[in-house]
Amino acid sequence: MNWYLVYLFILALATMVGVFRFKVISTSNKCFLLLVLITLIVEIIAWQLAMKSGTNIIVYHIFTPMQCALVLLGYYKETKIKVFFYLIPFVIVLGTVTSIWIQPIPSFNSYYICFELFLFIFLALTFFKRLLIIETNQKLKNFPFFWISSGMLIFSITSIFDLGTHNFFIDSNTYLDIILRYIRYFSNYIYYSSFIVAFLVKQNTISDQYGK
Amino acid sequence: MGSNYEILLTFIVGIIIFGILVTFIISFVFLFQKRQAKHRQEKQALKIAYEQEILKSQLEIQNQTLQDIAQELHDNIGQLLSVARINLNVMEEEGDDKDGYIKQTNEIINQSINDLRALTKSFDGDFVQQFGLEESLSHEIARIRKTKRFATEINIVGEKYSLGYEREIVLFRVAQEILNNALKHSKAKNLTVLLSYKPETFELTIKDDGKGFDIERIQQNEMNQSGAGLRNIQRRVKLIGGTCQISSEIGKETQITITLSH
Repeated sequence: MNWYLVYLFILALATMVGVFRFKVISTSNKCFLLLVLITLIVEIIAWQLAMKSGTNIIVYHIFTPMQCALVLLGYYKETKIKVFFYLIPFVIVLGTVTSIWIQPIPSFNSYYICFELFLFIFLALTFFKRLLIIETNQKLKNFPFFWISSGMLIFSITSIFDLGTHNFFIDSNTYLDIILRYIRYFSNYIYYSSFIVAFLVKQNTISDQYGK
Repeated sequence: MGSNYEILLTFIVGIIIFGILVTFIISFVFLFQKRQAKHRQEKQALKIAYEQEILKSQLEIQNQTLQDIAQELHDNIGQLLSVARINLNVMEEEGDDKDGYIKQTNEIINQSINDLRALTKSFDGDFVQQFGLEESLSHEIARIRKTKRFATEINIVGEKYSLGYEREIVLFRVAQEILNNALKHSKAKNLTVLLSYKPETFELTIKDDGKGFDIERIQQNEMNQSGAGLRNIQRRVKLIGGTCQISSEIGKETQITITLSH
């Protein structure tokens, strides 16, 4: 079974669901629809590049800051926390600086990815905190960002663990490296599947609940 | 060996982290639901407090209005009728009443004064405060009995205790409304009131042997249609922490039971 194809299928399905529900989904969710669409394109390009030239690292140098900016924009739209919006130029500049001077393009931008994953964890936890503060009669399942944040939390923590132990396992145990790879795949599946759920459920946002 | 130990340790740590993560999300769901339930309870408590405040204001206004009317009836119309009766007495004593009209009129005025006094007491909320629910209801029943259109009965079971002025005045007004409804719509011949003082609960039952009504149809009616009075009764009883059970069928007797905790 080609795990990568499953991953691409989930991305394509999330994009289709998002496009189909475009008129209904919240503005913050539209940022994530754009993110899924870009991710799908990037992953296809990365796949082709890997097959043709053997390396696709350049794609991730460009994609990671974009992903970071879009996630920040989505969370800003959802929570109305202005700091998230002001962080967007910062993460783009940081991505550029990392790709030019700290980990230039032939090397993998692991530092920036680590930073991004910690940022995602922070965003997800901030959203959870906000969700606990609001007084609402709405069901938890009807908050799309609950699904996205849960998926993001699982994805980010798993990826940090994976990144931190990757080299160690490659050197010491190939079998464990394969398991780790599957864990990585599944965390990606969970992450992007959470987008599908988020596009399908009732579109409650916490900023709406503050207004009520 | 050392390497294998590190690998195992790393994997255990990984599993623990993942476990914590899943536990966190599940705990969050429970915490959210708990907070939501608390929020709903607070909202409900606020709503009840607000409605009770409204009811209290309504009661105060209603009492004040009825008391003003009672005062006016007693001081003005009552006095005028008394003066008219004195004049008629004088005329009667002077021997002008050849056909007995003056005596008849005097009796009518006397009856009117008595009815007016009864009505004044019925309107006066202070009467409930002074004499209690039982006495006020007995008085109300006696007033209805005087119309000679209904056979009335009031029964008291158990050892009497006070329910507090607010609850008693609400109960009294509710009972007045039930009795008035029976007088207007039921075409009953018998009206029975039962006050049951139990150790844990107090029950007020009002029963008539009239034509009855379809409860379901009445309760489904819109706000402006018939049934608004019944809904109002239920709402008022609910606000003093009681329950109101209505049982009726077309062609059969109607029984309304109000239950309050002691």
